[in-house]
Amino acid sequence: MTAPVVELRGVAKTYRMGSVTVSALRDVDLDVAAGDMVAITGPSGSGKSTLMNIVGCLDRPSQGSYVLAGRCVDGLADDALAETRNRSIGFVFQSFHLLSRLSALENVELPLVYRGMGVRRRRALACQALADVGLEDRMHHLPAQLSGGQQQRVAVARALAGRPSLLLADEPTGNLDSRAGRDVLALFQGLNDEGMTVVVVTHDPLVARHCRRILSVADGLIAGCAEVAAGERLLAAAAAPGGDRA
Amino acid sequence: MNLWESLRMAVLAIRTSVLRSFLTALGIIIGVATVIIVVALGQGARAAVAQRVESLGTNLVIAFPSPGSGVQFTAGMARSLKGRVPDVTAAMPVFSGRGAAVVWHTQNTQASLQGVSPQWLSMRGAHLAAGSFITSQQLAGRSRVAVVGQTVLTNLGLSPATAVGRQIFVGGTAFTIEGVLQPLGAGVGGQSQDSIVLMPYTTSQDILHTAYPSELYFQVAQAKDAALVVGTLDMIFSHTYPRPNAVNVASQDQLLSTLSSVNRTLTLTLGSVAAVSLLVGGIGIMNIMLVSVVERTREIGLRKAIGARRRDVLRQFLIEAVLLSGGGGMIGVAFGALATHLGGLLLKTPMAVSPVSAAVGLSFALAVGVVFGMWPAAQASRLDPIMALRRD
Repeated sequence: MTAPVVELRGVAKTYRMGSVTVSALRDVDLDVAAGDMVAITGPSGSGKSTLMNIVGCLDRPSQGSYVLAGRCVDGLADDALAETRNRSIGFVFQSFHLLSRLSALENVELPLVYRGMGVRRRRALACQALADVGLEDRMHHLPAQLSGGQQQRVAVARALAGRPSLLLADEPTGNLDSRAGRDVLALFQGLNDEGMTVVVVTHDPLVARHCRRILSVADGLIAGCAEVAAGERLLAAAAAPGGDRA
Repeated sequence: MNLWESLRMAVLAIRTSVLRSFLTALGIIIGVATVIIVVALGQGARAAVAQRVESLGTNLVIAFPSPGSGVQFTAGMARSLKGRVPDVTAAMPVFSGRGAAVVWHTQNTQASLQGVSPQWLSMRGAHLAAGSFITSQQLAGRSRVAVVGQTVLTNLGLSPATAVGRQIFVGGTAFTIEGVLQPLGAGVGGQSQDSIVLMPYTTSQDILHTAYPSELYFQVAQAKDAALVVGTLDMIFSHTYPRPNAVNVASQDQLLSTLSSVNRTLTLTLGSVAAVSLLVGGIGIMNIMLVSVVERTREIGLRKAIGARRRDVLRQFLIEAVLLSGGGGMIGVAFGALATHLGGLLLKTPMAVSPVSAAVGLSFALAVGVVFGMWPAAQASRLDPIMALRRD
């Protein structure tokens, strides 16, 4: 595997709540190589959400440095971070976050709209992304006309449409039944096999087993790192991941 | 995100809840419509007043005792003042009374009575439709002859051709119809002038039970002399009646400018009230936009997460507010124009929407949208995407 997509060095995050200072992350080093598929797990309060926000450029570390896809993002202003998210990261959220007034196609186009891309090009890319997730025949449906699994696949298409360096998923199966959850994870595995770098944040060990590596976070530190054997990944793909346990 | 995309998003948001958007813009709609109607009414009224003052006759100066002053004119004053004031070419006393019943056969109607002199026709610039006007002989002889207006005639079921020579009863006294007036239109105060019965002022004193004329009319040779004549008459009256302002003397120009300024003040006042209602409409928009920002927190969070910059979000919400206010403004202009047109038909006076008031109303509405949309839009643009996404 080649140059890392995510490179965190000595990252810490502290929040001030009144007079008390809370350390959500303490001195985290993290490398995610291009083409890797990493699960970040941990109980709630462990700091995994904070880690995800920092990796996703939604939040800034209090200390340490972050190089995303070869570019240092420390000290970038809000709008510069927004552009970084737009170009380098594809988000998939637990609750899909599709805009209900827009069709599937328009939802997928949205990041490209903010990139300032012309109508024809972004439509072509969005159609391609929808085809990649197997929804080419649902392009003009509104989210409400789609099943949960289909909605999440639209969200994946939206994340992919901009050709990001990193696909960042936050509990992507949390709102799905087991069958739809398995489909989405299989989709991630397929994308990863084609070279996409994937980070999945989850509390569910069954979801985590779909990845190549599992990082467990506890008390603001990366407590452990485990490789998932290839056979186990296949097994995980065959078994049903937990969906509605959140 | 370019302007076109922001516009499309705003249209989509507004279209999603048409009723709510309409109610939000209602304040602006009413405000703009009111501005347009008030201005149109004001301008229509000004034009009507001008026309009525013109219809009073040519180069007239009118004197009448101030209400409550106790001053009483006499019929002879008209002639004596004409002799004393240069540039006055004609003068006459006018006796006005309350309305009286006018009866012909079984038909009856109500009309106002005026005692006048033979000069009335030329001084008022009026014309006869049939018959002849009151003569000096009839004036001297206290003849019971009447010249009637068109409305009276119509109400009695007579036509100009058949009316002359007929006998009618005015306030119980028999009169012979001598002539019929052509329509005069509305008077200075907007009242109809065609519901009128004219008679020699010598005769009218018996019918109206008064020996004192209510007004003196003076005709001036040239319009430019009117001010001088007014001044001279003022001086003479202030000598005769030493109390201040016992008599009002006014030329047509002064009458017109007084009435117009009253009119303008009224229009300005009502227009300002309408403008305030536009501000209130703006506050309504701000209120709903603030609610909308809260409701759409998750949407804003998602947009920011996938790459919307502050100015993208700001622009989206600002355009939505301006679209609401501008759309409201346009509906307001249409509604105001319609109401003005219908009002004109109803009041039977031509009323036109002034393009200036439409432009001012519309730009004011747009400005209100920008001003009152700015704060909610800024709120939206400052949302933290993490917090916004977490909101349920």
